[in-house]
Amino acid sequence: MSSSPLFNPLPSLWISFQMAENAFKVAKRTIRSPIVKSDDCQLELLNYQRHLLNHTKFPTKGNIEQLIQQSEKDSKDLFILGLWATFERFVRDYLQQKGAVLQQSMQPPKLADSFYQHLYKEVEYWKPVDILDFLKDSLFTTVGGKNLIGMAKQILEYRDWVAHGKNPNKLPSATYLKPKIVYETLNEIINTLLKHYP
Amino acid sequence: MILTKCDGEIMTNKNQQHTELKQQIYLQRVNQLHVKIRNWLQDKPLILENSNMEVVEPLWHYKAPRLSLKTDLGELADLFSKGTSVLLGEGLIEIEGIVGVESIIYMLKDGLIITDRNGKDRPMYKGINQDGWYWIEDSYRNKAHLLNKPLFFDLITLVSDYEF
Repeated sequence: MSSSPLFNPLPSLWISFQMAENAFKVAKRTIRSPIVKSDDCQLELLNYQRHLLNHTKFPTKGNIEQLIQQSEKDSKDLFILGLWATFERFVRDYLQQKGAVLQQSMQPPKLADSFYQHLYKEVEYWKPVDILDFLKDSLFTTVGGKNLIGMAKQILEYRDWVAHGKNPNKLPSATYLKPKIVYETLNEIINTLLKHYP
Repeated sequence: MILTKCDGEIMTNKNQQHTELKQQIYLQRVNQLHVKIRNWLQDKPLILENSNMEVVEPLWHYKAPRLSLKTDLGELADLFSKGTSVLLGEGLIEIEGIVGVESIIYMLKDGLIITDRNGKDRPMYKGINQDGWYWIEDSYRNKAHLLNKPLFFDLITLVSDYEF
């Protein structure tokens, strides 16, 4: 049973996402045909563009710009999926570590051990929405705290929709989530949990 | 007008009234913004074109205006109306150009209040002093910017590399 000290894993994911966004932007600029007035410059720019695109796998036909645009949209969804998965892992680890106190305080120790081991395993199967509900009833009881949990529930709904193939007949309550808002919501919840840690 | 759910079922009267109202308010806000943008761009050498697009919401779908910005050389950016189904907002428009996409979200005054890690209540985003279209900057923490003329020009530059 792992009990390495917990830290907030979301900021590094956010940096990766921003790097990916910038990389898409550079790629979109790179594939555009360079147009300049002087023929010499034009040739030099075309050579440089060839150098930039060397050993890349962009298709030579079709609307590449649209394909990159679509990849960017897909990457946003994958980022939200990844952000949620990382958030959920953090919360389960947090709860498992919080449960360890039972092992020290419950009597008799044999019962405490078995009880804790069972709890440790079961935490993995708790439904995310149930976890959010008891967080709302404990550490997020203010209006502002409940708002954060409400946002997290909408993110979870979206995450489930994407993870199950975006069923057009079962749309989530919010079909558009700005990655920054998702990040800041989950980040604030984790930081609040860390205020009560260890 | 009879609204149809995405699965073809007719909506109940109460739901229908609510969704119709939400849709009307959204369309009004989009149209008002388009008028503002036309004013902001009146002395710029750009071509503005209006068309319609389909908006798909969780319970209904409808037509909304789309605004396209062009130069003599071709397309510059499109303003896509994406509807009201947006986290933390009342409505969404995406500005899509050749090198990027930026979103502007309609937010109500003061926005959503959250309790932060220090137990203090604060708006999730600073700077929402009135109802309006806001841009949330990715690189700046907790700040929303009200869409105005200079910001709109900056956003067009961000998504298209076009310099005003």
